[in-house]
Amino acid sequence: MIRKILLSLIVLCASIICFAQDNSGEFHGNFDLNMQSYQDDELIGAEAADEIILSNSYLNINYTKGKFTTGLRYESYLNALADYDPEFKGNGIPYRYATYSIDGLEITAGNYYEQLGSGLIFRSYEEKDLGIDNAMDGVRLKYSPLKGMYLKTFIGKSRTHFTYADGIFRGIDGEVNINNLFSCETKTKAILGGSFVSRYQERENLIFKIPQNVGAYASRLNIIHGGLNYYGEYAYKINDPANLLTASSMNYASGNAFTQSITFSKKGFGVSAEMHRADNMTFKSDRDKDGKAFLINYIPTLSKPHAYSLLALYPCATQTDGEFGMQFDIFYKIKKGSLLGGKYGTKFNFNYSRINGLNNGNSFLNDDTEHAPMLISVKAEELYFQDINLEINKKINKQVRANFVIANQTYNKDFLEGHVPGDYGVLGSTILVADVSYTIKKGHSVRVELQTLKSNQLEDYSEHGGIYKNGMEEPAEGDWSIALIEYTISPHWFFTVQDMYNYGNENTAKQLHYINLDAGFNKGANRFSIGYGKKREGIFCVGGICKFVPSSNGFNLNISSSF
Amino acid sequence: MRKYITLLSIILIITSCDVEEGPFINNYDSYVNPDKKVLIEDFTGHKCPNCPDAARELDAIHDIYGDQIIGMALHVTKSFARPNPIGNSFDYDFRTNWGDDWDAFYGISDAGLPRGMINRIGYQDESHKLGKDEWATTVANELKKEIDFKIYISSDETSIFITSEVQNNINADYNLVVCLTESNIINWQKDGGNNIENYEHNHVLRTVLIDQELSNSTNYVAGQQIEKIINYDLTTLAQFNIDYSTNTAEMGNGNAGGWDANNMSVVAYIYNTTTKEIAQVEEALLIN
Repeated sequence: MIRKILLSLIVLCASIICFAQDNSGEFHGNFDLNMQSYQDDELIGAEAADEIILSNSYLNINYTKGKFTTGLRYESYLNALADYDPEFKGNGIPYRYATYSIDGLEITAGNYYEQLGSGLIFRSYEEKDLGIDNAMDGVRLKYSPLKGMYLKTFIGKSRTHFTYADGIFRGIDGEVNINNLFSCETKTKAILGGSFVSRYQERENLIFKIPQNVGAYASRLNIIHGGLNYYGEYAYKINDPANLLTASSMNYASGNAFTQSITFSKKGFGVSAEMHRADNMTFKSDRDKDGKAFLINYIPTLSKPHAYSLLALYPCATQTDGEFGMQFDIFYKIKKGSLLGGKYGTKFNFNYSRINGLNNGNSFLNDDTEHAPMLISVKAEELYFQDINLEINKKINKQVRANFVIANQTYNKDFLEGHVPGDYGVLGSTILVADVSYTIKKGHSVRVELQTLKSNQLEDYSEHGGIYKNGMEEPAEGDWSIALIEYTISPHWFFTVQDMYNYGNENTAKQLHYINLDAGFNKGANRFSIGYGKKREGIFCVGGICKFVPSSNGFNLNISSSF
Repeated sequence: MRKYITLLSIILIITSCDVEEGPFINNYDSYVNPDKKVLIEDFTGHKCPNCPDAARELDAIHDIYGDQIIGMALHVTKSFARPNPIGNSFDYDFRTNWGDDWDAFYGISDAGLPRGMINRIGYQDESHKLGKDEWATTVANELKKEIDFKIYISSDETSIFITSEVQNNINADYNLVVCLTESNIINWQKDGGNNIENYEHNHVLRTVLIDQELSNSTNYVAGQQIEKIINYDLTTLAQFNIDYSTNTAEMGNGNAGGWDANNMSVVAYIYNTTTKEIAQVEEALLIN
């Protein structure tokens, strides 16, 4: 590891010396430190860390001179925070790269992030909140031979923790902006794209044929006409069976996915409708490995990303193996001066999303079994997640601003968290949120957030035989409420107190308060925050990709800085 | 023009992929050392819905290689292996002191269940925690290895006799571990979307009788035989697990007895104390 670090530093320094002799380049970077202490808390199931304190930190340094850029990221996990994969362990420079552009050709060597289309067949990205970083290590070329035509190709291996997965990826993508290509100044704009990616992984199997080169392709179309925007993409992946010896588990079915969205917006009004379907589209950087670190494609979620804690208590994880989803959004701003708009106007956002399974599951093919689900099937299928919510945002006067949300969610906890039906069941939640900000005087404001969640069981498991209410195998978490107060002294200080209370837990010993205290200080490019509190065990998602977060009790410290 | 030719070449190179068409059965012949045996430690839990898939994969591997594959199921973690209160479904506690210790030492369940170790290889570079999809390849590679030891097991109702025969001159530290496992245990198991009442639990770790130095010397000579005699009493051993479940295991209920000697096997293995790699393993029925 030390040799790798030294090598990376030498390469970076050499690059900088070569390209910065006239000293006209620029350095940019940022630093982030997250530290957390962990202590035992039997009631919430939190476990102390042997190390007492765990820490993740990152330092990015980028140097740019003209069309040349180089940089690296130092990462330190001593040891990784409890909600991270334990494979993140130690220090290193897992990300380093050099890029230059000349005559329309951009060449990158080293690490890079890349996405083809919306990511249905390939997405290499970093999401620190989820502990995901599947950066590629290899070579990438981008070239624009004509105005409005963009080509890129790459080859590389995908990062997993501090090493790289077995699979070698080769990809190519082309995009044509019809209007630019033909210098056509019409109101309607069209962009066409296509991509292909192939994973090579050497494999032998005593019993079954295993494809060593697994290819996937996608095509996409984007049409823009005034405020109207349509985007559609279709993807296909050839058979990609796991390297097993269990005959009944071998699946040689190909995969496919599509996503369609149409949006319309004008001043004060917007509407969007989206639909997607994924069937057998889990694509991994190593066919033999499991876990989110090895996912190399991305099916965006079709549920609204909520910021309020109780609205995000039961989030929807995208099922790349098979799901059908739809989402509708309406935004409307009532004009100032009207009866409902008042002096400042009122904003409404209605959102509906629904995700269900494919009929009789995803495609399956082997010597004994063949199944292909219907293309579109909604009503009779197993419901995974549904969210109906209305958000109203209102500035009442110069001092008071308010945001209200009412939502009704359905969360198939058994399916989405991998339990047997009847362990936790299908949860129905009605959630109310009131968020009011009040400016006391210049630079001083207070924000109060009140949330409540009423939970009920939507399926009848009384015949199931479990030991808890409604025949469940596990006790229901039941109802929650949250009260939060935040005091901000602009531009430097903020203080927050939050109490999350699980007053409806079926297990009375678990009717607990999860209290969190936080304080922060910003000055210039630096930000410091410190907190103490208890966190509930749960699922945390970003864009449909989720991770399990264990319960914890302890202090946390965050320092971030940029230059 | 050269740029276009280059790009076209790249397209042609990468557009190759291997679409497999049925029948999907392969006829692959591979060298296997007939004396090499492999221990698959399957970390599992009766409340783990995906774990039976791993057990089935272990069975499939066993079907191919026969008795060269020795399985051991270790029920671990509070989430997946805790029992319900006695009198309900899932009220048996399969956990053992040794299973929990090995899980903590090797960090298996931290990576998610089901997961296992194949002869505990990869411990030093932390590649020992294998998902079930990795087992077949790892086993195939492992079975190609030469052996340094052969193990012979015999037993009667009170004692187990282990003879370790050294095959090559070696200088290293080895330990000998002798365990008892039990098969044909009919009890509850989550399996995918179902709770199975009559699931057959096989090669479940019951107890570890010894984990001690194979020899007090690190020099082993080809042809050398090392003998161990281990006396055992199943009632005492079962009571130890009952006490462990009652007093130590998280949310245990003491329901860990009811062993059936007729379904028990002796599993003995020799491992390198530095690399943790299991050099050889053997299995025999406790009551012949």
